[in-house]
Amino acid sequence: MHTGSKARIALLAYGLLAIFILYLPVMSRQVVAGNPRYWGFAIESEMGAVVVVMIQEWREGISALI
Amino acid sequence: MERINRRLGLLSALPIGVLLVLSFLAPLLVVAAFSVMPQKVFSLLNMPDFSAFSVIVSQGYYRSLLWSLGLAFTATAILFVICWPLAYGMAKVFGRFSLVLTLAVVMSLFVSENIRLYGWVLTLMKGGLIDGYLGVWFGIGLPSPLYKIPVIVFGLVYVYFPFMLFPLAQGIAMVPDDARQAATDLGASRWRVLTAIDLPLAAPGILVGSLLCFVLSAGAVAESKLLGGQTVIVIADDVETAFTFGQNWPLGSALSMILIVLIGGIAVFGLSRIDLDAMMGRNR
Repeated sequence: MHTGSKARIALLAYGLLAIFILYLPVMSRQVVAGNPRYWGFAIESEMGAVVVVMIQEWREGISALI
Repeated sequence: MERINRRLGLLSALPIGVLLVLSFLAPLLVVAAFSVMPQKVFSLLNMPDFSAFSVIVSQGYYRSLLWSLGLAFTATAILFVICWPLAYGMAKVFGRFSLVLTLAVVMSLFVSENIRLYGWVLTLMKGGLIDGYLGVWFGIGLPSPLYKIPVIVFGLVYVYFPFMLFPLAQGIAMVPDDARQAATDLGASRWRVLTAIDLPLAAPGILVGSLLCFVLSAGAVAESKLLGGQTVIVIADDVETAFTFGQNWPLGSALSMILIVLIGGIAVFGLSRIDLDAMMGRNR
């Protein structure tokens, strides 16, 4: 049975929403802490550290643009 | 040849067998033995009197068990409903994007459960992330959903989301596209395809996911403590209190045994109804 393009987009949006909600509490810790130095506390493990660096670079990139 | 194979099989299973006996069976036997001991003793060298079990009934500890089972059942049902579309997308629609989604969901597990739940406390608390931004942007304030029963269910749904999603996706992947196509060609509606083809053929995945979520939710304690602020006392909370503040090991053991027997019974009953070998793609 073929899944139509609208249904595909809806499913994809649903998936992205799920991922957003999954990461919301992790991100809210960063916002509340407000200081990148605390980020390592919120995100554990080596993979988490990579994510922290990625977010930090992304933030720096955005602030450079602004 | 078959005898050698069998011996090799037994030898290969020996390390994991020893590990299981030492780390799983031995503590379970100690808990079982303590559960029949008299109240507030710290030794197994006493006459069994099963008094801990009567205390569970007389002092209303069964209520926490009922709360745990009720919350676990509700969370599992909600998880099934919200995970089904996503699992379907991952198994049949998204293609390569499924891998990205899988990685994103798995990576969320790299952050420990308590840290993520504290994150929700910061997000949902009065003056927290959501309330704060609503106040600044729109000048409105909402009552905090924290320390209520629905937020405990939300916490369980949030934490055990991956445990339902992946088995469900695996189960849906087992449904042959030809069967769905044939049903559609014969005039079956989408609802009929779902109830007559998808659900029965994906049943092993549904059962594994539901069992995982139910068993884990029934023994969960962090959600009711951190998000629920102990509005509801769950069974794991009572077990912890009995072993620590209460200094009543037999009562804690009796509560644990009731939970273990109940959950174990449900798990064995569920697992006996599915063909795990077929699900893992192995031929017997």
